[in-house]
Amino acid sequence: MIEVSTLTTVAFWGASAMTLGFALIVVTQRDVFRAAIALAGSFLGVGILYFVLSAEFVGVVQILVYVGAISSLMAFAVMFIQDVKAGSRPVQGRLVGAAVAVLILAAVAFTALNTDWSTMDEISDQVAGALTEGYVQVGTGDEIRIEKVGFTDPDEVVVPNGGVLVDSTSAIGVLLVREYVLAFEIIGLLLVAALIGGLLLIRDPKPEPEVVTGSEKREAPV
Amino acid sequence: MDQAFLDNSLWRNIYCNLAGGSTGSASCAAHGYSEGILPAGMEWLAFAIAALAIVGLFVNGILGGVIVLIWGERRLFGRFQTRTGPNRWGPFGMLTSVADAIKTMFKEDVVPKDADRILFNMAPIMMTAPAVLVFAVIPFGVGTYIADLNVGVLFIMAVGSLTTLAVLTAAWSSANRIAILSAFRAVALLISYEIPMALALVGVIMLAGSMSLGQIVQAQAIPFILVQPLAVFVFFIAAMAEMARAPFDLTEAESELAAGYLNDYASMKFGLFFLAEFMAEISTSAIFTVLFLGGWRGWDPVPSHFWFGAKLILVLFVIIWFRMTLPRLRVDQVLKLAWKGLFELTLINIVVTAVLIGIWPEPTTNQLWIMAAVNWPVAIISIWAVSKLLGTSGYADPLPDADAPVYPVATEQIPAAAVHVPSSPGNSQTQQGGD
Amino acid sequence: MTIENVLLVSAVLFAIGAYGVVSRSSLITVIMSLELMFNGVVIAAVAFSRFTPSAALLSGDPLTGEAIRSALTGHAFAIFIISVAAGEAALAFALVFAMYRAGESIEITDASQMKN
Repeated sequence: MIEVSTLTTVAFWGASAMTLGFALIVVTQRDVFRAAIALAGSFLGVGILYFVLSAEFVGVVQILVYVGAISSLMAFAVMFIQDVKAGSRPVQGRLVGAAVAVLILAAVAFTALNTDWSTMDEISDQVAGALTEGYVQVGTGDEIRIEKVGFTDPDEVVVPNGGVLVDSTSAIGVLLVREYVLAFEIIGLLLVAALIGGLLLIRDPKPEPEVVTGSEKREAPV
Repeated sequence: MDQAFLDNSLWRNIYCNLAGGSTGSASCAAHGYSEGILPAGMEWLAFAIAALAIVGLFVNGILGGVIVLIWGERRLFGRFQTRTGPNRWGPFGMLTSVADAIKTMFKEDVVPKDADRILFNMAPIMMTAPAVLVFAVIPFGVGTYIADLNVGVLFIMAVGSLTTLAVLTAAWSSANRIAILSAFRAVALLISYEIPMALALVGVIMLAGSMSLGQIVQAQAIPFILVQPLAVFVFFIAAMAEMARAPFDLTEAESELAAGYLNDYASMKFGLFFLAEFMAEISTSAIFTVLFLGGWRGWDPVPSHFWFGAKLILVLFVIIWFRMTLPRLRVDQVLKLAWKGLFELTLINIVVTAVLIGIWPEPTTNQLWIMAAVNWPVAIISIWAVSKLLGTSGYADPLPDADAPVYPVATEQIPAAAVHVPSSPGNSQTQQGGD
Repeated sequence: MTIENVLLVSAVLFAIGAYGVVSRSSLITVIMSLELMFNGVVIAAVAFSRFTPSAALLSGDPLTGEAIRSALTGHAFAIFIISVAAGEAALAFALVFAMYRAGESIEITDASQMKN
């Protein structure tokens, strides 16, 4: 419908502007704490972008993990490390860096704009008909069934309108424990390793002070 | 228009009256609306007007609720302390919070000299925005919500975690060491209690089969407070800690830190922080009602909004009761409770609920009762076991034996040479030489 | 909102992050720019999952759950990258703390012992 798609476009460009604006503040701002907060703003913009792209679960995970946790971690780091109070000086090779970044951008943009993406406009009629009506047609011909999403039988998953999986959470869950179960477990191990490694790295290297028990008599001050 | 939009009766009323019957199979005409006011090409205007109207209604409703809550809480404080509470302005003192708001707005806005101005001004906004945003997914009655996200529960957790950043910004931009110290304690508290809070809701999500709050309300044939007692216990405690309310108000312990990270905020900026805390209280009560008490479910002749409101007020009363009754916990006690106590309870809850859901994937009402009957003994035993684990070993028995005197008595003799007895001026000169 | 636009946004974010990695002198801001690059990549992954259907969906066979779930590969990829980035950011900051406590400077321009 016309108004939903113009609103989607407005939301998309708004979220992109927020993301890219805050990203520019991150790389140009001298005060590191402001850069950390701008980074959190950029992450929030990316989260909104995921919502616009109909990836709700990924968007919520982005806000929960990046904005809620990693941004606080960065703010803590900035608050602890006192050297950054002087700000972050720009480095000698800035122009070369900018040129390289522009080259990377040109290469990726050229590739993206010149590729012939087979998008959802060209999928087959059966899929198109099923996807735009809000329910999935499972089976062909006389045996078409309309199936509803539920966790009972994850082999029959609803694909709602617009050709994208709006209720993607259960499908992602099934993906994680069926097709990608090895990656899932390895990520768990990786996070445990990161946790233990981080704790070891920040452990205080000074020896522990002697414990004074209460039974020792103390010399009274003279 | 999308079926999900048309289920929302607030949306439907405004949009369909404005835009009229439009294209699509689930359209306004199917719900009995004739042609709308606006001409055919302007559905986006109808969308925008409907959206702004609904959001405005919700935000104003919440602000009004906060005003009433501030008054109600102060009156309840008074009753708990056997005094009256505010009773000057308006009948029963109902306009007290209005007077408070006006007074706050007229105070001078002080900004510290070394403060980072942009961040200093942004911090109250960063604190208030998540508090309001949470209300976007909560259903206040049948078809009365702003959006019914498929990931509603996780959205609430995600948005609730934005307050840590606001606390850090507020403290850092105040350029004040006490504020930063208080902010570290506050953030340690907030991040420690996010995990039990999120994990406690996993049981509810498993029972309802969806993270959408509308689906969860509809799945509560019996309220989930009966079926998930451990989750209720953990969620309630964790939510009170997330709001930084007593008994967890170590961040603003007035005798210790003098308003903590909010130290340098004056007038309306402090008012915004204050507002954010009360909005968080209402939103927590609303979430508790929706997830555990059955939301707007009730019996028929009385409208659903009334049931929601009644349950909300009940939960608010319990929260205020807790604040008035329990003493403040120390920061190490608080963190110990989160990591050693509540975390284990949530894991036990998840395992037991997963086993029960494995047996009955889509539970009917009778099966929910059986699950409740299984969960309550498990909950009581787990809470008892965890309380033994946390223990009171660090705190000595105050009166070890009955013969001991109640007042402190010195058990060691202080050496005489250490004692300087101030006597009359004539003696002091001779005594000082002996020290 | 076509796929080219989303990929363009992703590329610009990646390029801004790349510029930030090269041009900032404090280690913390370098790590921040790295996180920006991660985000750029994940936007591209999610965009691909949104706009390009997989072969199973295109082929016209009756739809199975697996075919539909194959459209969510980008989302699973995104979740994995977010988790890995979180672990990596935590470890990177632990390293920065350890360096700071050991008295090392955290400006990358001072890490020039192997120069010449």
